[in-house]
Amino acid sequence: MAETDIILEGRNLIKVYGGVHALNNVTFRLPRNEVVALLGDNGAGKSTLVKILSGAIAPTSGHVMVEGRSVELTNTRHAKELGIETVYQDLALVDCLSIEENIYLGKEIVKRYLFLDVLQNRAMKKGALEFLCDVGINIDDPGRIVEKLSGGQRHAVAISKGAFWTQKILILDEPTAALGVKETGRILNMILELKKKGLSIIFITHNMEHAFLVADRFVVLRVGELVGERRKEETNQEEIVKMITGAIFMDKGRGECAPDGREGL
Amino acid sequence: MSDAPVLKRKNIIQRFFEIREIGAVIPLVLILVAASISNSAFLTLPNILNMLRAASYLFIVGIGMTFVLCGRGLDLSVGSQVGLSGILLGILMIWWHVPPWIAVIAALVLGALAGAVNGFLVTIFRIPPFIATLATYYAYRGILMGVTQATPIGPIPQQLRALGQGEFLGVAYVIWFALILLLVAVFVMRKMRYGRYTLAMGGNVESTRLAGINTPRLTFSLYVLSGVCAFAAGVLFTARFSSAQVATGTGMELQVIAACIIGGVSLFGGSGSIVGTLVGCIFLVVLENGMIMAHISGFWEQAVVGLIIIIAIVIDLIRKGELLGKK
Repeated sequence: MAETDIILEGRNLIKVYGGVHALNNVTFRLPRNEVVALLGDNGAGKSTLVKILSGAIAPTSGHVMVEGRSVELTNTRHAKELGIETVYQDLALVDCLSIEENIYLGKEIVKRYLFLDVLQNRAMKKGALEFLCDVGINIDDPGRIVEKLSGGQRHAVAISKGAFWTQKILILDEPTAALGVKETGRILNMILELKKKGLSIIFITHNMEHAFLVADRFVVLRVGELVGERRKEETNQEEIVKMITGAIFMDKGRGECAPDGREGL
Repeated sequence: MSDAPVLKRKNIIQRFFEIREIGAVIPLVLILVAASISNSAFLTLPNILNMLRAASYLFIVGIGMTFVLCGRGLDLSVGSQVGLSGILLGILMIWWHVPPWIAVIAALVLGALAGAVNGFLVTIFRIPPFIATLATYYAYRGILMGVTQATPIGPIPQQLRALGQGEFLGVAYVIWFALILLLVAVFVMRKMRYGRYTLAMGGNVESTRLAGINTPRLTFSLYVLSGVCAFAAGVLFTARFSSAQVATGTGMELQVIAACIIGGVSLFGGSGSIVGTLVGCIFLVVLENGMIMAHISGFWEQAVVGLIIIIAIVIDLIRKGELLGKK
């Protein structure tokens, strides 16, 4: 793995919340132009890891490296500047704004007149429309209010928003949660599409099928610890499930009884 | 869902309700018609200018309130701030003999400070806006009552009264001010990041924060803006009369909030327009004036306002698809 080009790495990350180790010495690597599925049960530490990698929280110890350089991510804006975009399942969009306003939120196109920055709504609408077409979402009017979109459209718009702003790293927090089969298929296609465009993607999911459809690599966390990392060619769903549920820990005589964690399938 | 999203066909009623200001415009037109039929003096230029002047004070306060509400805040202290502003002018000019223009600037600065106190309570101490500004609503009124011992301060110097009573092209200065502020506020709301971020924050604070926007600072600034607007209205109002009254602005906060709601501003943040608030302000003034002119007992006015607020909210819900249509 060392010979591979690693675009984003969290090294020996520890995060302690009031005495509880949410992450315990986890090292995570995202190879360039790969899709890595981050798997684990609830409370495994997936969100904590992703929040550290996206600058939302600081690790108690350990550090983050972007393209081989050690960086201190102070906030999400800083992470974005380094090319790390994160799409949170619930928090990606502001319902009362339009698609185009959401895509450009915080990074509006403005034109400076004297001392005033004036929003260039037409240019933003055009930019949004072009990009949405480019990633295969046919939305006729980017001026539509997000509130009125279907669940699948919202997810698609949220992911496009993330993808719009980075050429490097995209972190997707359960992008297929609560979607129908057809809509899920569309989102998964979109992930492959974005990989083709050269993005490196971290894909958090509970769903093994989805993970196997798009990911090149699987990283499994369990109660704050790294269980293991597998390339797609060297593993199968059964093994990953065992890793998630703790069966593999149990094999090694380290864990307690394996819970039934198969509802994710 | 097909890939090309099928636009849900809207019936004509839904389209009609999508105009944000419609909730205020329809009753406004009705009252205008009723009042002008029953009294020929209603639709005369002096009476119209008179109504616009009264609406202007409300609207200037309403601009700040619209921004605060759009950002999912609330400012109950604006009425007390209007009163405090007038009393401050009186103290500076009459007790301390400060030149009027300095007194006006001082009032605007104090307006920013009074708003900053609200902003501070809401953002630093995380007190819910309703409670924080309820506290300052009492505190500000109490301060002005205590300082003045509830007696008016007068007479207001002539230079300042020129501001309140003067006219340009036959139209009172205050109406011109309101007009300029209208244009500025619409521009800020629609064409500047400040307005966009305010609406975004009102829609979803967490998403807005994650978009890299400093939401506490934005919230803070909204209350400062509201304070400056309230104090500006207080200056213009006081300048019109011979003395600074301690009761000025009493109850105004509710009038202004009513005007915003009637104009389609959502109390839950994220949506609203400056023009809507303007229509709401004009509506309230026309209602009051129109009912007098139509020889309807003024006692009924508040009942009508209440009814209109309910209608405005129902229309808001229809617009959001929570009533009628949608499934």
